Amino acid sequence: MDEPKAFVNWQAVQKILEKENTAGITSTLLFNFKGSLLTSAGDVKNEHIISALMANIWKSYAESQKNLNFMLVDCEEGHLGIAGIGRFLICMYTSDFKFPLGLLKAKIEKVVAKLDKPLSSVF
Amino acid sequence: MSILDVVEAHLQRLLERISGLVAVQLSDRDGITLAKTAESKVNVSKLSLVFSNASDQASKLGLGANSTITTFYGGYIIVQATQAPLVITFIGTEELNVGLVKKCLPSLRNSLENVREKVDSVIAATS
Repeated sequence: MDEPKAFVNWQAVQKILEKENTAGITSTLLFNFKGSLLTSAGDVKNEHIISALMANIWKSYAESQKNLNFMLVDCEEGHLGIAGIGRFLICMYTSDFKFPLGLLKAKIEKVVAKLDKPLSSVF
Repeated sequence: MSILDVVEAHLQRLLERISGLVAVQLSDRDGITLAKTAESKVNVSKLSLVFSNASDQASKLGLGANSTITTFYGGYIIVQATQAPLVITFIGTEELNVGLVKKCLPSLRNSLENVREKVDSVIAATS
């Protein structure tokens, strides 16, 4: 079994997040289960509040039902998607109410696929 | 036929129209069931309570008031919608047509308006 790696090239992670922050996506955040923000890309205003709130919401649902792997939150003025990667959560949101939810989900799943191996090894 | 019987009949019709939909349940913010189509293995009462708190928090994200939360688990999907003080929970398989569920919400909310007002007045009278 491979030894878990303690160090992550966060600049490289940031570049991947920036690459996926295409037209329509307001911001992408990466944070831990306690809501502490690790890195972000895009137009971030209240990123610490968002990461703290979403970590709490994810935790509530994950504790009530097993095998939670994705969540979509619809609000009046935008949408937010969140998925787990190892010991972290990736969250992408848009302030464009008309942004297709299927596309939001697909973009998050793409980021998860790219970062799953490196981030799952972090202890 | 009582109002809740009419609501249950409406919920049952949704089961027939939406592919992948297994159960629909109407409850209040505290998880007390008002109407449902069928029993499910999911603890909907507990999830309704989780949703009530989560929806309040989600409304503080800076994206306006929260309307629905959709959760994807291994093997099933749950869509929850708010119509304060009511919570509508849709439980479906992995094949659930989530878009169609959301499309049905405005007409379902219209038909639930009487129930919502009654529950609201009961809550106001007891508080």
